[in-house]
Amino acid sequence: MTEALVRILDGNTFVVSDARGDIEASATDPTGLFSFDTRFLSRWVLTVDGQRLTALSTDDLQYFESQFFLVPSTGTVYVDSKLSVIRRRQVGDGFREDLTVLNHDASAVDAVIRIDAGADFADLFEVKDALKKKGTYGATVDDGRLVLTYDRDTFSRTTTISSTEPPEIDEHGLYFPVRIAPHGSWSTQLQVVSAMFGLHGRELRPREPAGERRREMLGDLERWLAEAPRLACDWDSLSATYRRSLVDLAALRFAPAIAGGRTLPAAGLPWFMTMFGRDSIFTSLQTLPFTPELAATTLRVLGDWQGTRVDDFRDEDPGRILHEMRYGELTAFQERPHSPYYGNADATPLYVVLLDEYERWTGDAELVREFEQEARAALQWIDSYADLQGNGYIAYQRRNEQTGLENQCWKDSWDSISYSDGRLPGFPRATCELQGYAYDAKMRGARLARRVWDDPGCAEELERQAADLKRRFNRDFWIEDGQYYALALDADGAKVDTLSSNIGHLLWSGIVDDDKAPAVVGHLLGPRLFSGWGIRTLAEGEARYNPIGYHVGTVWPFDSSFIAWGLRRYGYKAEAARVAAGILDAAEFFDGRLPEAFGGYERELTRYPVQYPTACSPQAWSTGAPLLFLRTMLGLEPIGDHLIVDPALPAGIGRIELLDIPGRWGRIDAFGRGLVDVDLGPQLRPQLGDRAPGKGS
Amino acid sequence: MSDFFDSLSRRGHDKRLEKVSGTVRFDISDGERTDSRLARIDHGDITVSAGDAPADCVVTVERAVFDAIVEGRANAMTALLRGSLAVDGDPELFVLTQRLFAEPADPAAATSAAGGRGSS
Repeated sequence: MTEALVRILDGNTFVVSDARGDIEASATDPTGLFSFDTRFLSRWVLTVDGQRLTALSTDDLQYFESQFFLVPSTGTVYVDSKLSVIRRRQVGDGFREDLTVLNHDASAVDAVIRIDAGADFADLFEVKDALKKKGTYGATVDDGRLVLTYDRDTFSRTTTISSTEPPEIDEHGLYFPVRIAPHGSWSTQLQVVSAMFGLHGRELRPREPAGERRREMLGDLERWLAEAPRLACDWDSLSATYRRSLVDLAALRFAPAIAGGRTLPAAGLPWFMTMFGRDSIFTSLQTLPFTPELAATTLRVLGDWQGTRVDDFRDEDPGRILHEMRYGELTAFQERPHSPYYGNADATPLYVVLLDEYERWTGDAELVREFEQEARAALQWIDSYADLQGNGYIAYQRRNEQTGLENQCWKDSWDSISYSDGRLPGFPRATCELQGYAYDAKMRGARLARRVWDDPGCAEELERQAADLKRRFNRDFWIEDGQYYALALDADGAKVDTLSSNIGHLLWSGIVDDDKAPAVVGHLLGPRLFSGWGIRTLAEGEARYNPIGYHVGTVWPFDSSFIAWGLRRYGYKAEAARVAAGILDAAEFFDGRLPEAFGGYERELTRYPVQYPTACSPQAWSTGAPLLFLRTMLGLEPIGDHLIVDPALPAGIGRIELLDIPGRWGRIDAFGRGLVDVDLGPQLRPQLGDRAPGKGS
Repeated sequence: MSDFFDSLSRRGHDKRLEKVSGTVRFDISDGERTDSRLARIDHGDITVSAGDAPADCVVTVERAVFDAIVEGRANAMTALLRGSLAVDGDPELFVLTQRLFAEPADPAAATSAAGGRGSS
């Protein structure tokens, strides 16, 4: 079915339906009501007298609420129905649906309103991989409610469906024989509640008090938007993208059970509504100048879950920061290792990077002191468990050969790391950006040791290690002929000679020797890597390059946003602005909601960004990308108790102002002015990336 | 099981729990009988006592499952999801409690192990 899907979500509970509000999930199709990685409804179909309905319109009222206007199908193109139906649905602990049937006729109408309901209780991994279930299903009528159950040993999940109007119930749904008065209406409120039961029939999650929930969520969203800095600019689509990003971030907030109601960013809809080490850290870095509380929760939760033992199934080591947490059946029965799974090589150094960046913005030294042991353990991990080749570089090789991840860097698909001729290197693999993160973690760890932990000896040692790492890295990874850094070192310590976007992360980390930076920047903005919209994950001309290959040619907005930050770090302001302009232009085509990736086709060729087929959207670090671009365009940098503003706007932009930026300084405004005259029509603004790069004020 | 609590008592102090102050009670059931132990953590100092005094976090679990967890054959989080372990009270404390189940690592051993793997 190509019909548009309607999604509403709240943390890790979300509903995906068709435009009528119906759910008819197949085994591999991500529609349904999902919560904690389990599908609690796979069928939810409304009929009137056995007839399906047709959508007149669908409104997304809020990220957690949508409304469907429907009429019974007539089989013709004319809609002349005597009845119409309004479904208004709000996601919460499951969802609530207000169902109203209107009679437009002068005489009374008798009708049977029916909701078919069913649940396959699929683990999200099963939906992704089409696996078979091992437990038993049940459907019972209990006290006027339909209760759908799934049990496997002590594992128990239920969906309970109730209605304010008393329904007739069978095991396939609820129905209401109703008489509706002339020009009258009938309505009921349906409640779908998902539950996970633990030992002795106890609920696994604390239940939220019902009732005032919608008002709470609305009030919460308004507060969220009001507390974020205000943007004023002469770039209409940027304003729209900014607002879209803030709302999507609110939607993607996820309150892990241990965080006492505080939230961190979940990775993305539909597959990744959970805690991810890497994604949560990158998103927190992007959003620090806007919503610093996300970073605080991320640091706290990832710190609490830091690895403590050597566990091959989970690829866990002491000090390692988790990769991914899951709550579904396959995780519960250890058929998947996500309880949590630790198989990544970047979140651990990035944890220290975020801790430092967080303190630089917020001045919250208390949290840095509280998580000192975790930060030290993370730094220790870099030099011990991560050094798989004994050569002083972070490398990865999974110990869980069945269900672990082969590539434990952000480009985690199987073919993402290849030589220029297309061959795949053996393991362990030491990708270049990991060494940059390690360098940055040591430098930032040194700053924290000196300023907060009062340990100057540790600071000096870390700085000495960082300097040594930088020296070795620039010797061992540099490809003299091509004038760029190798994508990785292979199992023999030889260079994986591919040109990739990873070299942009090296600028962000500061590990690039100054005399090598011009060549690196030249590649990033050159024709092989820069598409006009953003920076390709893999350079054109490499054997595995494919403009719609997941990590081998597409453009990832998050990737480009960190590269732009890196360009600024090395003083390439105009280039950073050019990358920002390209991605933010692309955002306009996606109504302000950047997908995780889009095609790496040359901009000149397609004139619009081609969406990657199964990309997740909204996705946290794509949602965070416009915020990081704002930071880089304005040149925001916390120095001591001050916020430095050093703007460089893209050509064609006259003014960007960001007001009330929160931080250790209280609130500060940042103003950016472009040099060029700006004469913009209301709609037909030329696309920015088409112009030559310009300089800001 | 008592081996575990004995060794916990002997551990005395755990750097990884220095930010933690709170009490965790383990209610370990064996058919009809329930054996309760209270672990008190005070900025990393650990003391263990018997008895069912109120605690900030209470972990209820059957003996066989508990033994498997402390011996590293099972995992507390999957036991929770599967319904063979229950947690009441402060869930953050439950997460940190998992550090009690793993002896503090010896980073020196890890370094040599890592070096050994690479040079072989």
